[in-house]
Amino acid sequence: MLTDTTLTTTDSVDPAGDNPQADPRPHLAGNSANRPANGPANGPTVARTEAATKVYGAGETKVTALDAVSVAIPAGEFTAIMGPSGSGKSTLMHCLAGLDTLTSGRVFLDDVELSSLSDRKLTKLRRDRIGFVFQAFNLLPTLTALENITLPMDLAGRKPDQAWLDQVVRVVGLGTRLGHRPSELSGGQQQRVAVARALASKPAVIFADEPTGNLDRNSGIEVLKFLRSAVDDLGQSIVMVTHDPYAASYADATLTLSDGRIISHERAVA
Amino acid sequence: MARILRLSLRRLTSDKRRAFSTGFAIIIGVAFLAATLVLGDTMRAGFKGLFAEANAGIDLAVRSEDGIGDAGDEMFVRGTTDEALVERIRQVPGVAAAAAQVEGTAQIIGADGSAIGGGGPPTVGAAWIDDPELSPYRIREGRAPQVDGEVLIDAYSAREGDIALGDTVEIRLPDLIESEVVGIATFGERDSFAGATLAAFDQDSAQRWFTGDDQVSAVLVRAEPGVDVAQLDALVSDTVSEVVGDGTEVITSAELTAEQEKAIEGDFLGMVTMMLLAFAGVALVVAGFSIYNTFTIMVSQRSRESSLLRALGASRPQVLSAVTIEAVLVGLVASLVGTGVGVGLAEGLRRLMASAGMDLGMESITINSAAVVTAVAVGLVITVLSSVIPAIKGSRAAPLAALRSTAVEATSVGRIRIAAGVFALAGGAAMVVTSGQMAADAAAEAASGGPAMSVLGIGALAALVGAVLLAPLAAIPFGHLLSRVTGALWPSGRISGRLAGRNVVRNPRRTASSAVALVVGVTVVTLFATMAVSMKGAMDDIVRRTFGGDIVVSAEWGSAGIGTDLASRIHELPEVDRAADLSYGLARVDGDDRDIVATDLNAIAGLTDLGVESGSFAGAGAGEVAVSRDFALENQVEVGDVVPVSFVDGTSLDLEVGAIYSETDFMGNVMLHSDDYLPHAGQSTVDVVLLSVAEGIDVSDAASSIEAAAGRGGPTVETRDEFIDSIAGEIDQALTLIYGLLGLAVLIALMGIANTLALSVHERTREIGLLRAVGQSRRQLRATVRWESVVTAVLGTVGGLGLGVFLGWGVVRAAFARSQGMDSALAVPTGSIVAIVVLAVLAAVIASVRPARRAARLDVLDALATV
Ligand SMILES: Nc1ncnc2c1ncn2[C@@H]1O[C@H](COP(=O)(O)OP(=O)(O)O)[C@@H](O)[C@H]1O
Ligand SMILES: [Mg+2]
Repeated sequence: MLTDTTLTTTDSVDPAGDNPQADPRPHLAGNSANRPANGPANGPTVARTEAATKVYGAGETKVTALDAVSVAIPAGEFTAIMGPSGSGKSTLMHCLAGLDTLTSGRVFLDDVELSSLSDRKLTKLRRDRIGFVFQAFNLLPTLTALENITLPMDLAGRKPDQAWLDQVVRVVGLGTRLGHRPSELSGGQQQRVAVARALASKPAVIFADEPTGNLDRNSGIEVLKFLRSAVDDLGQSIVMVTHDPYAASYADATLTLSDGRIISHERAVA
Repeated sequence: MARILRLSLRRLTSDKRRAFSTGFAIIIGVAFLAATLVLGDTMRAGFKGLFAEANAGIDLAVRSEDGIGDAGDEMFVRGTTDEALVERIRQVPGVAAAAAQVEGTAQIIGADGSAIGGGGPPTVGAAWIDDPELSPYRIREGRAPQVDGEVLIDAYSAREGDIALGDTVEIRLPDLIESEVVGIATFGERDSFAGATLAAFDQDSAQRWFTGDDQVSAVLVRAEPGVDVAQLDALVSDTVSEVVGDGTEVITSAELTAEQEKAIEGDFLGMVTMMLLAFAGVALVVAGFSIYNTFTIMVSQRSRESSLLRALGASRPQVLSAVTIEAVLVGLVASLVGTGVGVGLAEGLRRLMASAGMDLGMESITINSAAVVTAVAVGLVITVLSSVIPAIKGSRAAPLAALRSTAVEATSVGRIRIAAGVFALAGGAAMVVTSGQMAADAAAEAASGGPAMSVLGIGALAALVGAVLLAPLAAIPFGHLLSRVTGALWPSGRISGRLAGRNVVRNPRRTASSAVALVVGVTVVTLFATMAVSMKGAMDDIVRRTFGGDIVVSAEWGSAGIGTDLASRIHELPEVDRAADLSYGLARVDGDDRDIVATDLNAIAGLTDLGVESGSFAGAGAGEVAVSRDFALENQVEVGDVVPVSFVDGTSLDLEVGAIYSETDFMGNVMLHSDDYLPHAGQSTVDVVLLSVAEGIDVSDAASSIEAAAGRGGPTVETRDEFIDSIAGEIDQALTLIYGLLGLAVLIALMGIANTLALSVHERTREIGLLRAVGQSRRQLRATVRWESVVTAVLGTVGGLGLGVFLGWGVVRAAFARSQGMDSALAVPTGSIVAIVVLAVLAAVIASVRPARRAARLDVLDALATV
């Protein structure tokens, strides 16, 4: 599936700044040895669907965005969802994240069945148990970077775990720019702040929908490395929707959708 | 052009709700304006019809040329004419009939013991005119009064007072008389002449009470059919100068009607319509601000669309005209609707007045094209003007700039704007402060206070403009303050407060212009409240300082007065220690017609402290006059000087200045002795009796005795404290009306806030989606919108309160510079301020309900997908 050669040939500038030939994907450097090479993990799952079906419209204009999808997202891993445009990636992610409801089937997050939840409970679940990174406009323009990061906790009226926050902030690497407004940050920095926000509330899982879609290649790599390190260093579960194979190559496993069906669920090869 | 028009139309119809709420502000303002104009025209037409009807049978009127006061003014007193003229005029060839008009004031007491009518329409006492054409009254029942002790009354009084033919009624002239009702008459087909009551007597009785024997108010003349009125006028004039010489005029009935119309315009209609127009003006200014704001947001939201249009080749004028056409459409439709509503409102008020028994001759509503054109034009012009600036700004968007930009934020406030704002505010404030000093100086030199008032007015306007310009600057700290306050008050609300605060700050200009509409309304309300409270305080102070007595007996305004008979009976009551009568009137003093007070100069000294500067009241008697310091300065007189004083009956007296005093609030500038004034005043009357109670007598017991002595329908008897309270009550009553009218402006402003809020929320759809996705509950979202509304409203309210109190202080200082103690009487209307703030916050919460609910209803995914 992935060819590392494309990376080394096109990646002319190494954002890490050291060896231009080094592969920036740390998980491929060796720590994947203890994981099975293929298929979904058998360990604990953070989210799963049972015959999840989502149909838009009716009659002539009927679109089946998800067609009886059953999938389990392993905890503590970086899962990529791939597929061509219109294949149902975003729909799957939205249903997993409680932003959208299924036409039929079931979704479990943290072993809670989502369709039974009220809007209030769903909101609370999103706030406390889920982190989001969208393609763009992730941050509130009126809040500073730091305020954006602590937003979910502030909404919950809860004090952030200071040690954890310090750690997240350190990893995000914004330094003095934390007090700045999003408009004063680069696109890559903005997305890193978004990831930091997603991480800060220690959610069960982070959903990222094309988080690098709007970024230039170097900024994209910064964000991907940041996501990767969140999994490796902080043990965060992450689900990332992307149609960029290079971005997917940072993941531990890749789920491929086509026409609302899963056509493969493979582990990354080293 | 046609295509641009179609685009504008499509935009309007595609967003009906916004078009409606934009138009609504204008509808309210225009409706108010149209109602005022139409009602004014209707009342004018009503009175015109009534006067024309009253004078229909008259061709000429002969009367004294002279009078005291300004002709046409309500207080004007015209001199009388020799009765002998009537007979001589009858003999002039071409005269079909001539009758004596004898008029005065007479209050009819109803069966329940209270006086009928008054408080506006006159209470007429007159000699009955037999000629059915010279008199507009028709006898419905009974007959004309023929001898002393008989009276004919109007049908309105008979109905209101529950009086029937043959009853004996009491009438105040102002002394009480008893008469038998021998006739009941109607004014043409109506029960009364615009609510005026009529008590008609035989001519001898009427002359005895109203004009003096051998005198008449006027001679009414009717020409024989076919006689040219102009020629008759000349003939009658000749006869008149033969009999009485100069000083008597002959006027036609058309002139008489025109004069009466002018008088009602001057003292009633003009004032009412001017005041209502001022309020309509405030409402329209506020509406203008709201529209400006709405169009600014609309244009900014459409900047992408405009840029696209420009990128596709539309010229700037085309983009500009698209917005302008939209404004014209909204303005035109709203103004037309507003005018329609206004006309309906006027008709409703007309019916209300009719059903309340106010028959002002308004059978139907009068819709002049001038009123309609004015209302529509004003609404249209305000809408277009308020939208042109945002439109020009919008059309400036470079073809691609707006396509690239995402969230346009203008946190900065222009330097020129700040400079202009500081200049206007500081300059205006300085002028307001200066005007007080100017007024005080003018008062000290007895010069006109006009320039001071002009400086005050210009200063007030400049300060308001400055506040409007600087409002965005205030929005910034305000937004931040809000974040703190909510954090401190309740930590769980901290984030909603913070988000709201940031939204307020993110576009301070928008927040400010939303708040500014409220500033205008609240400023005016606070200004009036401050004036009222200060006036109440000052009146209280003045009464306590100047009036040392215990009881004030006062005739109701517009009534026949107290009467010398009752006044002397009050003086003789055992409960009364000292008493002094006051008669308010007019006299020509040292060449100028002036309001005067006639009293017992000696007795008044024991009851009041008027701040005597030289001479003395004590011992002053007939032949003396007391004048104010201002008068003394202006007329260069000192104690001992002689001042010529003449009266309406033509008598002239030389009076010696006995005292010069400083307190003018109750007594005015000239005080005469009653003995000098009453014999020459026509129908003599006392308006007020001031008195102190004898040792050991309870004040309320004394008041009861006086009331008993006064009999039915008598004057108001109040203790000193009650008197002060009733003055305060009158001020409060006026204030209530003003509050009601200005509430309208505040309502428009709050609708503007709601409108702005709705548009802002719409603009932030994506942000709302994001917030909801990361866990903002619907409640928190609503709270955020609500807080934003409240902060905007509080910003406007606080600004208006500050400005209103300051300007109120300025007005109190400048306007009352002449009256001692008023200049320092500024009182802050704490109660009103608290009420205004509470109401503003409540209204802001209500204003936020719809935008907040709409925000909370947004589907998270849809919102996130919004560009
Ligand atoms: N709100 C919607 N209404 C109708 N059809 C939709 C809606 N959202 C998505 N779809 C359709 O569902 C299918 C899957 O969409 P999506 O999940 O967004 O695909 P992807 O993210 O893989 O590009 C597409 O055919 C899309 O047109
Ligand atoms: Mg998608």
